Amino acid sequence: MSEKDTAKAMAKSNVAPPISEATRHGVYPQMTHDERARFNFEACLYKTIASEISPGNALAYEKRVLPAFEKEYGHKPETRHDVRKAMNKDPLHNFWGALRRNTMEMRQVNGQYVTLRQLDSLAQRAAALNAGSNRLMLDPSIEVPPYVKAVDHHCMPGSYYRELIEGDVSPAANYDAGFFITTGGAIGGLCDGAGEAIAQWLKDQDTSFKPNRILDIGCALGNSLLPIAQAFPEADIVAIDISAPMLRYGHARATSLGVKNISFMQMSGEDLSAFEDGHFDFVMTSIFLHELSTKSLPRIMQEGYRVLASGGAMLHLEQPQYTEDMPLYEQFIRDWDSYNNNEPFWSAMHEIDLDALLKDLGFAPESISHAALRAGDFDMTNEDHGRAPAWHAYVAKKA
Amino acid sequence: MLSPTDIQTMALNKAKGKRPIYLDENAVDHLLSMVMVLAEELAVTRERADTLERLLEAEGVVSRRDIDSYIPETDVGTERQIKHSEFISRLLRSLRHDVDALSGDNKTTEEIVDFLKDN
Repeated sequence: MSEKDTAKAMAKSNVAPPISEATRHGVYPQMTHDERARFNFEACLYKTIASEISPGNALAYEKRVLPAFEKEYGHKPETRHDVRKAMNKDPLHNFWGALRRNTMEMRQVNGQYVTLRQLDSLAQRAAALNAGSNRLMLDPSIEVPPYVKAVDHHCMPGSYYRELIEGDVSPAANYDAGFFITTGGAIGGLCDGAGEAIAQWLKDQDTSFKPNRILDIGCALGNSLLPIAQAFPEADIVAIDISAPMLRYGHARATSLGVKNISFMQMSGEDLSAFEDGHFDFVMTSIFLHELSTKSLPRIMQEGYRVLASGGAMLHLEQPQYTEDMPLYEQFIRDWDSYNNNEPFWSAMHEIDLDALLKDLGFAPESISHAALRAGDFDMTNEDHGRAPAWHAYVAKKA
Repeated sequence: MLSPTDIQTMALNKAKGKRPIYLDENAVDHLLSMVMVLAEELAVTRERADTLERLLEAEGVVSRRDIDSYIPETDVGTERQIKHSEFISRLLRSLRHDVDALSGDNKTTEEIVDFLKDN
């Protein structure tokens, strides 16, 4: 059994795998004994809070928050925001929230210590792996968009684009190490379960599907993209992001893992003018749309549509959208990260009618489909909403 | 290269964006954050002790069974109980101060300031 398999197997049990089960690669940060132990503790904290305390949220809602709301207003809550405001008065929910927020903050503090103290050596290791490659294209003129600057996403101080020194990769190294902790190993030792699920689904749908040119918008460190690059080794892949540290690290990481068909380019998805119309035959985003904003999301989709070739496919992987079928409580609990984990667009994004947006772009209604994707056979009982290895794919084919 | 002070400052920076208030009192939010950090360091220390025990056992220096079956001599046992007691006293310090105040030591600084004006 590979390291990655061990992590996944452990993730299915009640115990989160230790950080020593994460798959290391050429630019993976080094950790001392106690730094690893802190991550281990935090992984267990996430998991135990999720399994033992999180179910209390739904119980508190049913048994006291909802009855109190109905008594006060004479009707049921009408939106997830009604539920949120009512739940924010519940002592158990608040204590759970405080614990979860602290866990996220402690994970960030540990990741910052780990990566800041080896700031220079991480940059040097990445530079050595990136040297001589024409597949890392940075553009210092790319500005950080306002929707990225507004907060530090995921409570990561300095966010994903901070550059303290030339060649900095520290935000990516921090994100890489901590991602294994927040996901409890459920998406594998390389945190690539989403990409594996996409690659598998594409092959299951159409065994003859062999894209020549793939575009991944908002690739971050490329952890979701690598399995797709490995599944389609003949494809020429472009991965774009606005963060130079992510791209440097992503390229170095891919190189050390033997993946050589991805070009990492510093570019905003809002302006793909570097590519001609119809340049790509597969355009994707993975767990990215919720980091955008009301105006940038349709602009990015529009550009994605423009560079997509006739007969090509577009795929967006996200958590499921809030629809009328989804109970308000589930919408509320899925929304928690928006207000408590610096995900300010999460809530608004999940009520956008993505199908309508895809139709507006020009996709034929019958070409639009959905798929529920999961990492392996993960048990979804007591799903830790927003963190479970389960996603919703929005797919459309261009005529 | 960042200095240890820079690392210390930056690693503890707050993420941009106002932190939600979870509990009824801001003070309790702070206390919880402190308790969680202490719990983490306790867990880290236990993992470190576990590493030490396993390395010592692997080297044949001492086995974990030896550790579990170790019964201290009376002097050693007493010495350790004294350490426990000292630690508990430190832990209960602020509560003991409340008790002390009930037996008379409860003048506020303002009262003493006033007292000094006339004395």
